Amino acid sequence: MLKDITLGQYFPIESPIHSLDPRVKILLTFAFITGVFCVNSLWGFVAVAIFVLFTVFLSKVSLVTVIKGIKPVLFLIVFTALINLFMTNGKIAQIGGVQLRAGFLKITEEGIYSAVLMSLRLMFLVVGTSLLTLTTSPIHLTDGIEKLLSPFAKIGVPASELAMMMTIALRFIPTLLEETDKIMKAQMARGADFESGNIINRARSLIPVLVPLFISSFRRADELAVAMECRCYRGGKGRTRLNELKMGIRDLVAALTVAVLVAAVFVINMYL
Amino acid sequence: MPIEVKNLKHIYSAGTPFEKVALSDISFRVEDGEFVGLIGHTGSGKSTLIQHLNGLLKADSGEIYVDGQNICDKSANMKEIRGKVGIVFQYPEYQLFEETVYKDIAFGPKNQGLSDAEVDERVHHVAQLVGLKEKYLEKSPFDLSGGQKRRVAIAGVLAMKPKVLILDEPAAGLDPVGRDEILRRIKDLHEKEGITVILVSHSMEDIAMFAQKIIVMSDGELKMFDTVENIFARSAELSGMGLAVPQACKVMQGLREQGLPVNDKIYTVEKATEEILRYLREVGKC
Amino acid sequence: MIEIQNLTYSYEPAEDKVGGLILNGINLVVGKGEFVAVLGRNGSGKSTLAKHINAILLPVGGYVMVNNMDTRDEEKVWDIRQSAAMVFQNPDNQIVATVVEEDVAFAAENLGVPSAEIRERVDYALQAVGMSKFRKSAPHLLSGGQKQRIAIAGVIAMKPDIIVFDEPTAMLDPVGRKEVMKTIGILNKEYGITIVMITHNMDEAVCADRIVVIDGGRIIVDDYPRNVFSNVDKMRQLGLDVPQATQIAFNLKKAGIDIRSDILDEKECVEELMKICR
Repeated sequence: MLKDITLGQYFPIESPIHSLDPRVKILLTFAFITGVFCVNSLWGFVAVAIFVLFTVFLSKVSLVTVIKGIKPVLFLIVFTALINLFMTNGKIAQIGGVQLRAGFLKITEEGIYSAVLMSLRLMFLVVGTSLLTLTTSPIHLTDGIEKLLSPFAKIGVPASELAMMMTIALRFIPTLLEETDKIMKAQMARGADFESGNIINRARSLIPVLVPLFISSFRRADELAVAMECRCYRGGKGRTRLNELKMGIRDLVAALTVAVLVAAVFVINMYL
Repeated sequence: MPIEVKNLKHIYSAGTPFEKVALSDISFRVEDGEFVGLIGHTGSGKSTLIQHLNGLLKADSGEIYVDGQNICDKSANMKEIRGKVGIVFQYPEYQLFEETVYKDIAFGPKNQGLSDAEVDERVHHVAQLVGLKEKYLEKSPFDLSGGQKRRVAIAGVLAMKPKVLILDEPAAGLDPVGRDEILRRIKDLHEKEGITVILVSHSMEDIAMFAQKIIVMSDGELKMFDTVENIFARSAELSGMGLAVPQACKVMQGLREQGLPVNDKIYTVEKATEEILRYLREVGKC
Repeated sequence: MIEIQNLTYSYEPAEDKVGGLILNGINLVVGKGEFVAVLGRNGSGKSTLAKHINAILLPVGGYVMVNNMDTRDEEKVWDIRQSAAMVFQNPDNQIVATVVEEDVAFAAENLGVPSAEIRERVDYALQAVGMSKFRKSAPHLLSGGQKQRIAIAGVIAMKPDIIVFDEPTAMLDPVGRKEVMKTIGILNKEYGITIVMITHNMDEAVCADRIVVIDGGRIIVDDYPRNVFSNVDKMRQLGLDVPQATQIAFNLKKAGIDIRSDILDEKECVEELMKICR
């Protein structure tokens, strides 16, 4: 059934990585991304790989699950690799004395090198970010973003309101999916056909689903707003939280580890 | 047009950790022109069952014959079947989408590929059947009251001229007057148009008033399929499934338990009153 | 305590014609700890009345006082909403968070209650509705009755004196209805919370101490359930049901049987009939 789908890819288990403060995890993910972008040699990626494997091990999420996260962007990775492979200028590569060149297509040694680096870079980026979403529940993620944005509230960034919007969106996704399913079935019972015809006809056949869906979403929004007012919601000001975020030793250790990784990347870049 | 279900089975999310048997080995036959009530608590499989009857859900095994044709066949023409078996879902007013009531009612017959003249004739006919005044046809469905919207939605299904009409909680959310009105219209449809009706409801009172037979579902199984009086006679079993018999029925059963020789196969207020009066006269208390 | 004096309301304040009034001179006093059921047809104005009790709507004429605070007093709005909580028909459209305990905490968070106390209040509220087991569940996987109990817990965390229920069982199945009605009974009897419950289900109204019937924006009946239902003809005329047992007794009385007409359920009906037969 539609409502059984899991939201995002969060893995609800307990591990040292899961229990890190979401703010720390978000910031460290950014640090990791920056680090990965700076890597310019294979040795650098060895350091990154060691770090990633270690983190995956600590997070108790299976390596297969993490690697599966690459699948949706596989096309992008292959595409980037091909572009690099064919479009980099330099010395034409040779296999057994045969030059790799056909018409306007040519493969250079530099091209092979940068294709490998680019693919690794993209792969590690995806793995790093999916480690964040695999080990952080949507609520914690929202809380983390809210807290990280809160210093900007003074210059008019509505951090708390944004976080509330994200929470409500997460809360209503399953409800709206279920509703879509219901409306589609009701219209199919009236002979609607969503599967055949060309693109224009198919798009048009969605009107009987989208109109009721919008109307019901507005009605829900309206009712929810009143219900929230009844529960004394008046924006983020003066709100307290059931679970306040707290940083601990663990977070410090994590931060240091990432710092070591980034330092290692820079050292390798300079000396190897 | 009879509907026959043979050994119907449906499993949700087969092959995943969420696997759940929604229907197991369901068999029954509804004859042409019958009025059948379908009861069962939430999650008993009754919604899943009705969605099989017009092919919205596919059976994992078993056969469903509508008008002698097996609709589980790959070659079955779904559009034709959905024209024969109409389903009015719960809160059907939430599926309205057109600018005018007329267009919304016309959606079904247009999908059936009817000519404008035929569509027009049907729209006016069904509007009258559900008690919608002509003047409403050019209004936006969203400007109508809750009860009127629901009638428009029901008209939208009726306009496809189904021979079997399945209604899922048609009275949910209406007040007593709105409820009686809708149910009376459904009864008229059954009697005057000869439509076979399957009424899904939590309300034993509503089912008792109109249905001839009742199907009781629980945990994805068909537990009972019998005449109304025989079903309500098994009230202990029903309450074991989280269902309750109408209060009138409980009164008669209560009297019987106290040792009065009254007929306890009674389930409406009128019949109960008559039976009590008959007994009181017999023993000379009035 | 709720005190409503000569309350009028219209959605178009500009037009002061009597026909446009949704509420037309409501007078009602609900004492502390009472359980009042408000009955009426769709469109009778009963939901509009409910929304006046916690200042979601403000009177066009007359006034509403909650714990001696006037709902028109803008400074008191949040105090009023904290004292008089409200639960609506559709539990799906009241639940804000993706985890039960986070949702129950929502109101307390809005009130600025310190974290440790929120935790206490959440535990207390979940206990009151019997949902402690589900504290970590995702609301969308719960049944309708369970979701509605979570919505109720969400307002109990504000520690209100009054809870207004606007057709709390209309979208639920019989099992869910029973759960919610049982919860409401417990809140009233054991926790001493004043209850105002809008409904058109007669079997539920029977549970109240007092029934108020609204029609055309006016209070037509205000009496004990027994007295209200014994007047079968009047209820019918107002477009409302009476329990079937009451109806049977009423029919018998009409046919000349000497039976009490203020019967509320099947037990009483059987008892009375047995008295006649002995």
